[in-house]
Amino acid sequence: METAARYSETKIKTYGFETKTDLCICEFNLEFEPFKQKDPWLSGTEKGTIPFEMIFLGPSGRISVVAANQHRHAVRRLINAMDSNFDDTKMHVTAPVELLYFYGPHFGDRFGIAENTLNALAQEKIPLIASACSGSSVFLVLPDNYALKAKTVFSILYDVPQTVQPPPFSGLGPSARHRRREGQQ
Amino acid sequence: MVVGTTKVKRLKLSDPMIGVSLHHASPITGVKENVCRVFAENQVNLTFITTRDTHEGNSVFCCLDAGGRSVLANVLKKITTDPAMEHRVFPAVTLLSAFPHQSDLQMMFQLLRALRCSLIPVHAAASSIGALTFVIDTNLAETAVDSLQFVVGTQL
Repeated sequence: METAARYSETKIKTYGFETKTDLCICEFNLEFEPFKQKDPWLSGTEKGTIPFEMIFLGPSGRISVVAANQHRHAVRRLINAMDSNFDDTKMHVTAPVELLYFYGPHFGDRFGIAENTLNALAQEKIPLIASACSGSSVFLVLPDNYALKAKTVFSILYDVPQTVQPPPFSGLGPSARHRRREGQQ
Repeated sequence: MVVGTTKVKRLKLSDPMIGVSLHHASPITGVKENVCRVFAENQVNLTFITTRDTHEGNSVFCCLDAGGRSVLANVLKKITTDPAMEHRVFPAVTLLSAFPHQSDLQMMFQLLRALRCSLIPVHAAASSIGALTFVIDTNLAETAVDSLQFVVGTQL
């Protein structure tokens, strides 16, 4: 039996917003070399990974990596190590940029989340360099000094979970309160 | 199996979807907002979307459930009234997600390398908080999984 459900809320719920600053976008095309019998990238011989904040690519095949600005040279070195024909001059770097991301319940299954988000930015004249909505998360790449502004806008537009403070002078630490709630005391 | 220092624990395939690629060849504002508005007005959920604005133009790639096929023509008609807007529809695409990515750039490159070396076109890709998602043709989904399993040795 199939059941259809309709879910609506006056304010879209999220699990909160995260911002990252002092980032860069490195954009490039990459020609991958075929795997070898004992490929150094798979055997772990080649070490030195770089943490990214966001990755996306479109139909042109151009790869965009958002990472800490301090890692931009490491990104270049990794690409050079992977593609001997890589032309350094063809890597385009935009910096500094900022990132704002958030996720919420069933974001991947509902219409209107992306529209709400993009409209809010447009109304406040906050430029958006790039975005990716995949699964339940929304990632937004913004120019320098715009992430906090966008976060303020979204904090009004979206429902953000509030931290519940314990009652004052309860004399109990968090673990004791938890045990009491669970009926273990 | 470990790729570099990261272990991919799970691969997941979505149901078949429709992919839509849109590109406006000038840096005007409002392109992505208009695309999202028209889809939302027609109650079409965009399961996957990436946008990129540059001085050369604005690009949007999105995927919608196969159920949205009935309204797609109408939606595209509204979106592509501007002759500068190019579009391409991929009638059957699948989202192939690898969990977790642990923000490991090398792992992302190896997964993409595995797909490209198997001659599987990747129409789009994006990271989320935990996963890397690749948009591939549905008829190549099994081959894509085999090629990623070669790299990560994990099961669906």
